[in-house]
Amino acid sequence: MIKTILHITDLHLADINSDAEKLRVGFYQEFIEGLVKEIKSTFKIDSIDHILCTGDFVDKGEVKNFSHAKSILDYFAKQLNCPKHISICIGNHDFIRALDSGGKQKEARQAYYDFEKEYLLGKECVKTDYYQIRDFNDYMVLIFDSTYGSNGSNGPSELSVKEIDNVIIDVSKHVPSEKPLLILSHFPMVVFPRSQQYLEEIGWVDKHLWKSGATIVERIFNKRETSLTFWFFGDGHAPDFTSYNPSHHFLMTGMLGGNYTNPTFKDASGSIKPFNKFTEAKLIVINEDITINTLSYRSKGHNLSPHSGFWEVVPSKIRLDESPAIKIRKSEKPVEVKPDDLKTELIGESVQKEIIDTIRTRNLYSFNRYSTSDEDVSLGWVSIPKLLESRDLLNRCIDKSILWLKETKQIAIDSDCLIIGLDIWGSVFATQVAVRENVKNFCIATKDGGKHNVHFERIDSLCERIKDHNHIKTVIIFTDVVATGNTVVQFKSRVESILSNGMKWICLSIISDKKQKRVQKFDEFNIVGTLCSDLILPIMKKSDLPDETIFPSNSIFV
Amino acid sequence: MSKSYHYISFTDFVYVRLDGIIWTSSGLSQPGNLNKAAVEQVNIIYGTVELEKLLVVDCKGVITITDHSLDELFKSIAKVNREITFVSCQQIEEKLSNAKKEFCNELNTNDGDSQLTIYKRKQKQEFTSESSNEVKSKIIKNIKEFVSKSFQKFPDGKFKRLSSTPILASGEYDASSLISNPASFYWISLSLLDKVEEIIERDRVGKKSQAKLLSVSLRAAPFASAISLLGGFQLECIDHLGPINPYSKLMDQQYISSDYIYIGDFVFGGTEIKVAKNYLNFKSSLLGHAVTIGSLFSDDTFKDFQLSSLVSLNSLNVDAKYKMFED
Repeated sequence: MIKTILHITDLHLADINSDAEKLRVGFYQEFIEGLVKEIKSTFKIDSIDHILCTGDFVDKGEVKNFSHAKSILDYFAKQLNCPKHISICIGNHDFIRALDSGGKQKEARQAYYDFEKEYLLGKECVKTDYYQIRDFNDYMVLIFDSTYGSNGSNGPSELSVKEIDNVIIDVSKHVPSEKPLLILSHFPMVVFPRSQQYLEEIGWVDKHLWKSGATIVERIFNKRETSLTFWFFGDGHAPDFTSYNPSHHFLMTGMLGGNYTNPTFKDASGSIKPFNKFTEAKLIVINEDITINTLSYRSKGHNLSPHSGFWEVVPSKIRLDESPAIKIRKSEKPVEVKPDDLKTELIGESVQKEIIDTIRTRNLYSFNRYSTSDEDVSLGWVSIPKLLESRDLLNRCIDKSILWLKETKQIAIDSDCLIIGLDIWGSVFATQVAVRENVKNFCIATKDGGKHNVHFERIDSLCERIKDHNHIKTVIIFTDVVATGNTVVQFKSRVESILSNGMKWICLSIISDKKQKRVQKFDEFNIVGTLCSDLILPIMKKSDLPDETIFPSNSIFV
Repeated sequence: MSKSYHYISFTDFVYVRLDGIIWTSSGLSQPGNLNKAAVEQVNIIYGTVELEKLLVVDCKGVITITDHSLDELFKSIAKVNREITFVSCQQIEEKLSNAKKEFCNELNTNDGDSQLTIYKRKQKQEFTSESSNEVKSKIIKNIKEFVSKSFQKFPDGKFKRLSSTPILASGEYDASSLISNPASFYWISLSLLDKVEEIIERDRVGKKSQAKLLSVSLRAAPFASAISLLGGFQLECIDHLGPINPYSKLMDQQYISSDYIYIGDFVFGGTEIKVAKNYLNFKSSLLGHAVTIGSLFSDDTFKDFQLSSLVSLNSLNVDAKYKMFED
């Protein structure tokens, strides 16, 4: 699994001996070493999984500088122990514009093609004049030439519908949805709402936005809405990043090189303004969360001298900015509502009736605001300890669960079966089932990630204990109440990463309102049973409720 | 097939506990009722496990028998030349005698003092009060082994502060592993049940209203729940007691004053029990007793409550070392 990606762009090698350029021959190693040192010390890593550079290696067609660009890339690769995982794309400065405008597109790009050969890494799945797909086993890379066909205009190209269709067909054919996809384009394919130029530069969209690319974004987003996809762009010079959802992340990284005295743009009043001198790289770190870390080169002194600066890391969590295009698409179509939870089966009518009757007669249902996750709130809540104070009911629930598993679902509860109880009541069920069936069980705390519990009760300890349990064929999870299903899904994902594939996953709960929407991966359980599915426990997004200063959380849990 | 942890072997006899077998063979809907599924398990042990030895069936807690449940066992007794003794069987002695008369009347019996022994010619082995003590000792010895094996040293030989207690330890006893293993969970639960029943009988706990059990941790809840179901006690389970769950969060609007018995895993400084006691006092209830698997200090160390622990953790595992917290 890819975990670290370094994105650099826009080297703009012009006069490689000029002291106005940080990547000049006499300084680039020192400059890169500072960056590498900052990465290694901050993130405690010795290597990077993949290095990307999104074009404009040379400035204004100075193709003789590709050999120095190669020295720079190779030095990055050497310093970051990443020689075989580099991908690059062409920028609008990387070819000879005069040839391009004369219709000689390939000749115009020949120097780049020669340079590119060294970095055609990974297995080639498809390669055309304007895109290629490469397979790096754990992930895929889609590389665009967003300039091909621009006919020397210095702007992005325009693709025909057929050409866009071909991209989508090949992505569908060669890129499995479960593999992360890294997409490179020099010209940005989306608008970054916070970037300085977008806000101030006249005609930013016409000059920089690859409009054909925007269509590609929307179509790939539709195809891979929940598949991890990173989009990397250059050209913008003023950096930004945004995410359309937790799976689709867009980065426009600032220039790494170039003449620090040059870049200017015209603002709305027509005045010539210098760009903010963002000299930077971006490092994506993929763990449980995704962080997008900006590595900025801060010049010392007033003249922004490239001779004495230092690297600084600014970490950031992803930030969701749903694209205007996606918003329009969603509002045009009826909102796609996931059907009610069809997976959850009722274990028994009689025991459900007993549960609901007990809740009714003992007045155990509370209606208030109960936080179930960072995003969701349950408006209903049942005191499980009070519900199961009735030993008869507890016994019947346990007996029914065992009977349902063994006789209705034909599950063999034996030594190939792992029984796990989540939190107190899941654990009470799990231990009773385990002792009766003579199998091992584990009691795990999930509330607040188990941070209030001893080490032995946390999921880390469980993973450590079961890492050699290769014989496990079935995992049965017992829990008290399923709301969105997020807790059991997260738990399953974690345990699944330890055990081998192809196991049967079963989730049993005391209460699970079948009318509620579940998180998507809840469907991946093979069998889901509940002792009570008809009790309504409404789940709402926090964002759809008044904030807690108006509608406070209920903290009484009896 | 019989579960291997159902029986314990001694030099001259094999011991089984009927309430445990009822629990694991057919659940705890009727824990005091001997049914066919449980007798079937006893019958398997009778016919397959160490046939040369007396089989001792402890009937403690069994008060009724489902009709015809005993038939197959007594048919086996008629066929197999093996002595069997039912102990603590005063509640079901009549039914046992009737079954003996029906299926193996030709065999001899020796009854008295809540015992019934069935043998062929001459009784070879007698289950005496010494034998009973031997059983208790061996169960505790087995529990000591389970607990000792659960000890896990902290990495690099470091001492760490135990939660809620100003004691530094070289490692921790892992109650989760005792729950994970069906054998240890079975015998520890039954032994804790005996302790609770002994306390209730001895100290008349809950003479005004029935005694209730209290557990305040994830690792205690499965034991407390098993005792509650086996012994028919009411149970209150709390997921943590202390700063993250202040009393005000837990207080019910209506509560009934009760006598509580705390059920826990291991006691070091007793902080958790004292917090539980305060919580119960807060709702006009009492906590005078705590029953735990193990305690570092002797039971009479604690003055705020009477502690009954199954095993002493002092010197149980040579790797387990303790020292006072130094700030």
